[in-house]
Amino acid sequence: MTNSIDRRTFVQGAIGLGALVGLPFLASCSKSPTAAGSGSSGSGADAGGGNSLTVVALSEYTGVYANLGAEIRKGVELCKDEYGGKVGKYDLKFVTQETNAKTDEAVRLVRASIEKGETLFMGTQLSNIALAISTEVNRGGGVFCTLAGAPEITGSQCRTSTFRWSDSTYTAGREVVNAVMKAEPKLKKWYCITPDYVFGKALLESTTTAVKDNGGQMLGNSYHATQETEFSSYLNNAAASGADVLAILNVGGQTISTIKQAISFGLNKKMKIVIVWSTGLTQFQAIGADNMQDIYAGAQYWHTVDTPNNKKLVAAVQKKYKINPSYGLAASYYQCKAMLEGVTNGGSSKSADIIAAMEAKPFQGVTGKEVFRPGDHQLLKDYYVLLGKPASERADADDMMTVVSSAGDPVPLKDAGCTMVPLGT
Amino acid sequence: MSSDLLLAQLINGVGTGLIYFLLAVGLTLIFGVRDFVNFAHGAFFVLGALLSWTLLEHGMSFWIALVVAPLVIGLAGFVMEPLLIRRFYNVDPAFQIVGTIGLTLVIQEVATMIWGPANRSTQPPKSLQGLVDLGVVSYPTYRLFIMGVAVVVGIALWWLIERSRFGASLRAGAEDRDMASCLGVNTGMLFAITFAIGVGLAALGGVLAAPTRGLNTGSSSEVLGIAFVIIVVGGMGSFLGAFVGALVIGVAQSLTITFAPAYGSVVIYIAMIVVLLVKSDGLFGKVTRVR
Repeated sequence: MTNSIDRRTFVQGAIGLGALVGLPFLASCSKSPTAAGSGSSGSGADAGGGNSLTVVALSEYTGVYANLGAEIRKGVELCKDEYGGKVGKYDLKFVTQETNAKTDEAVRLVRASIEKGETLFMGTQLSNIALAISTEVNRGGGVFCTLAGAPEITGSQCRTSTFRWSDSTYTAGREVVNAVMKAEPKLKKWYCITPDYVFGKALLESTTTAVKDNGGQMLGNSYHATQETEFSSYLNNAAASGADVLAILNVGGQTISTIKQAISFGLNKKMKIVIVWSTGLTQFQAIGADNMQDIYAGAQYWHTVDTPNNKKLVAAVQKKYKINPSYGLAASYYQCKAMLEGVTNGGSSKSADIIAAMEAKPFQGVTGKEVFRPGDHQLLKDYYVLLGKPASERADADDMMTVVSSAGDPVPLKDAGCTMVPLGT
Repeated sequence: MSSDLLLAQLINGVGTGLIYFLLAVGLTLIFGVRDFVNFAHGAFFVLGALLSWTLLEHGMSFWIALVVAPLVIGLAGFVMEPLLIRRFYNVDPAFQIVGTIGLTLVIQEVATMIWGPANRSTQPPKSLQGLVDLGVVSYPTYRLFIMGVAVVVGIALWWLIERSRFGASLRAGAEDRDMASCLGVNTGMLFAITFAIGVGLAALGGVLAAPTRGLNTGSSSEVLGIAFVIIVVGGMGSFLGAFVGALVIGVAQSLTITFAPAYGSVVIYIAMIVVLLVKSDGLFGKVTRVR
């Protein structure tokens, strides 16, 4: 056979596969600007100031992160409905852009947007991409609001242009451990399963510290690869450790796989399962309400929270989408709203004025009274600890969790390590 | 490190390996018969999982989904082979690769339009929930069931290829298509059936995997990576190689995670490199090829 594939051709094919995945980027490189902000009237510290504004929602709308991306898109649509084509006296446009979960792609998109004079950026769930966007938006003189979790975003790599809606890994680890160990004081010995990247390591550090602060013991941890789908062997390690608690520190689809496999191995009967950083309702739906019973989960948002603005949000989402809002939707809606309220309150489309207005005063957010801390631009809001309900206590299919605690315990500003990089640099 | 944990990890490694075999066997079957690398294999796996989710959502039983989803996907493959796949057989292999990657992207996007991007997961049937006491370790009933299916699939395929009249014709067609045609073998039909079986097996893997993990339309690459490693380790196109390769990878991964969890994924590729350095055609590359 003349066209048979040998091993060498196969390996070449594998390289071709990689190249094909990168093709959209390679093709678009020919059109990308050569330098950030070059030749643009909208670049630098004086960016903005025109008669129109564009909200650029960058996220991962396809691939393995598409689940949260779809929620982010819905939140942006809701924001768009609320503001229509105007914010204050300025014309308003909305654009969604796909990062393909690649930092270089995200950077290229931001540079191209800044070239066009677009200054309001939001989105992305991925910390490495959020950090790259933060750098470019700050250099280009824009404003960026994100939901990514790594502490560096409002810590060692904080920038004047960047605000974070979500509580950090510091808060998540502390709140979940505090709540669980308070509710069940006998749960002293913990074991973690953690993704081996920036976010996971940060969450592991805060969880470990909180366990020790509460008089507990961290018996061990299993790091896993970014794309791992088979967790049974990691779960065997956890089961053999003698821990009282299995803390799952990964996110999204990996958490679903870990929980389902943990339950199939009977770990929920041997130890308490805790998801430290859940993505909320859609994730629990995929795991299944019965599987979630008696599992603790940390959450940035939960749709039954009793605040005036949450009730408004739930009503608006049920009207538009016939569903209850999830974390990604709520987060993206409020990121968008925070920036546009900054425009309204600042009375200007200049980024510096918007930033000053955003950090100036507390506002009523979805979790109640919220404020962006001026020193690091971390939103101070509650982080929720939820517990799976038994079937008999569920009012409807989505009413699968009860709120055990809600508190906001951010990293003290002096410990955040934030030295604000000035706008435009 | 307790001996109980090591034994548990060893058993789990075998179990994981058999699951991996199920993911890879369709890929190696198609390659073994037609020297065609189906880069869309992972997409058919995902389609099987999503179709089973839909069937279960509509109140059908797991057992019906287990049969119907692979049959539907296999039938789609049977139609697709003469219309699309066959055009790639006699062209440069690079076109095969680009063509099937393109097919993956099309399937992915169409699946997203139908099922949305959300993670989907199903439940195993009640009768397969819980644990079985194996003496030293309790093991999930559902995983034992998957292992059993993998063994049955392996034996059935071996019989089909090595012992049946269909298999004899298939091997003849794969060896010399023109000669087989002259002898009255409908090679076009044989290859279409083989492709259908291959993608049907991918779908079967998807149906069986859906209760154990979260899957969405972008999950195809996760399966493709592990399936490729297994068929390279086992020897491309080797049915026995896929079986042994999957067990080697499963056990190597499981034992590595016991001692150094962070290297659980890396060890798969290290094992592949070691095997290729020692035997460049893989473990069974030339000895027991299908044809």
